[in-house]
Amino acid sequence: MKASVEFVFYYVYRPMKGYLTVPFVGLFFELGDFSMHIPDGYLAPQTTIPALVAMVPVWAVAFNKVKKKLSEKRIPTLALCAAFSFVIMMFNVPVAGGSSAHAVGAVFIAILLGPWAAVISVSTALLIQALVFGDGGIMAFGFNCFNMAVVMPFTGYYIYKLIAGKSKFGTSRNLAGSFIGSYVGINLAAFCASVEFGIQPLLFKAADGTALYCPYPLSVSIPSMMFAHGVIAGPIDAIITTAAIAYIAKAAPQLFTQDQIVLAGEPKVSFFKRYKAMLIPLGVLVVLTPLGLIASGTAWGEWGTDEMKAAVGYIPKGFAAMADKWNALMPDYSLPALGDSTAGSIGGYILSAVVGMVLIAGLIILTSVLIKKAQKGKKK
Amino acid sequence: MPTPNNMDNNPETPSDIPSWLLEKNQAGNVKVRSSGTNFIAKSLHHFSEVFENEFFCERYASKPMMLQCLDPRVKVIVLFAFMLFSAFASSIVILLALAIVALLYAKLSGLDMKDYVRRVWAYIPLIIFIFSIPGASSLFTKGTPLLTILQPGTFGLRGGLYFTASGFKMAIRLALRPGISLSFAFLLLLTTRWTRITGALASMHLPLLLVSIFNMAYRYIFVMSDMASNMMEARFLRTVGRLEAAENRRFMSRSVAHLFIKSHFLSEEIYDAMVCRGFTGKPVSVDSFKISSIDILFIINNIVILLVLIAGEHLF
Repeated sequence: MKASVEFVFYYVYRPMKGYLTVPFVGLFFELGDFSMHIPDGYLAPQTTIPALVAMVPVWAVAFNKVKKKLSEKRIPTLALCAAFSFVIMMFNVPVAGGSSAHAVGAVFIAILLGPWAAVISVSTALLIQALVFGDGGIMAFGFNCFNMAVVMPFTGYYIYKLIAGKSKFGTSRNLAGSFIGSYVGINLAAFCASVEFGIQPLLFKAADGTALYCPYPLSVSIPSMMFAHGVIAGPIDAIITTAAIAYIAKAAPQLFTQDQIVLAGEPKVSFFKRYKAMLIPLGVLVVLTPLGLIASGTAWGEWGTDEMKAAVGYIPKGFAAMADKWNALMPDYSLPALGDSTAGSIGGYILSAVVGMVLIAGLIILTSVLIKKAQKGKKK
Repeated sequence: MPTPNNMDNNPETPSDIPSWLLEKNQAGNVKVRSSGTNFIAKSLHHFSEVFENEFFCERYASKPMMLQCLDPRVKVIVLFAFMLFSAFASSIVILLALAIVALLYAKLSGLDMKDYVRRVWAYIPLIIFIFSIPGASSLFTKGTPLLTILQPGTFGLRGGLYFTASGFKMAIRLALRPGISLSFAFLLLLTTRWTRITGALASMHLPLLLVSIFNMAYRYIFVMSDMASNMMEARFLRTVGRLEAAENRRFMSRSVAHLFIKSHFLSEEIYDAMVCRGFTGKPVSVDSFKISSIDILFIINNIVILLVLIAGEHLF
């Protein structure tokens, strides 16, 4: 018995150590209701801010494309489409054995209204989700939009077009196109998300090698995301899209002839001119990003001493000692107190933290009191 | 999705609502496992969250407290600055300080603390922490062993399998960041009405067309959620016996399609109604904001707070 367990660990576990977390990480996305909404804090701002800025021209182009087709009708159509997109993201679809997953539906909107309209409506839905419900981060909004509002509808739509060709809506060839299109669309979006996760530990590391953001490298993030979406979320989204298209082809076939947005005709308006007022502050934000690096760069000092202490305090034989555990957990605060009393003693650290916090709290309370006074004065 | 507000012991529950409306829905809590309609209950739960959320936002936003009195533009900028700083900050002490700052603002703005803490910290940060735990093991993060699972040499692992101190620090940091980001996002949302947030964005040069789409989308989310929840409720009540998962999936996809058809016709009607009321295709903003002395005070104080925190980031 023992021999067989050892055999499994020796020949199965050891060669694929890192991969053992794959199903765990993959299931996280499904069980955690996240589907593909990346929360804040997992991606470095040095990557999320450029992503957000890169999305601006995409939105501008999408707007121009949609404007041409829908003229002034565009406001209610796009708004209702965004609300629709928001609502179907709340639908729980049964998978098996009482469990359920969320639908995204971006490819469905792309097939019915064209990919550019899907960009606008899914982005709006994602913005409301991030701001109102905290679903998906605000800093990560650019990446979430890129994955779910650009990659997903576009790949889904063009694969659908490629397979369906000029076949009639509701025919089996057409439905096969929407099935494969939505399956590939959601999986490619998941792949993009997994790459965004996976490059974080390569790019952003503290001095001691700890990941500052997502800790999982590409070798873990890609298989886990692809496992979750290839097996669970992908088929579900494909089934829902196909069945919904089939239903519309049967119940309201006139929708297909009316509202398909023609992609022909490049916009001649320069969006840089049009959105100058918005692009300049965004540019400033990008330029300021390195300043943030300086602010966080000091943490390197922390990690430097931490690393040093780890090197000193690391005794492989005696790592069971409780005291060592505490030192390891809070090396910056407890270790100096044990030995030499340099400037950065434990008392000094705690005192400075308390003073800082009292200062901040005092400022906040003062502001609150003054605002209330001003408000009372206004009423009089 | 954040956990829903518990109406029972919420001090924010107003007196103008009859008690029978506040009674807990017993039928919703009963899980009818055998009929396989859990997915409907879950979806219905999401829809009720949407309405509950709006109800409480409205309550909080009308209070004459600290953040509610400020210009929405100032709030958007200051709270976003805190979010940005939290994304860059890596010291756990500073991240905790940021969480405390958000809690202080929530308290002084008259938000119900239990509800606020539950919304912010009870769900996403916890899940992120659990998700990051494998990353804290020696497989991903090297460092001082904190908790040994497999002794060195077991199953041929030279170093053994253990959780590292720096790995745990990383997991705590990763759990704190989304919590802080959510804290400030909810501070903005709970103290400001949606139209005032979008109005602030419009006065910061976001195209008016986009703003009117945001506003309309936000309004019609409630209409469409109502439509969808009616469909689900009807199905929930009619279901007898056990249905196959495939049949349920078919129901969900038809609901999606039906909702789309409805929304399509609704948008046509809305457009006609807008034209009837003199809509020319160009949205107009009626919001006007004024920066007062308290807004300037708020900005200055928050700059000082951020500077203190940045200094702290150097220290810790």
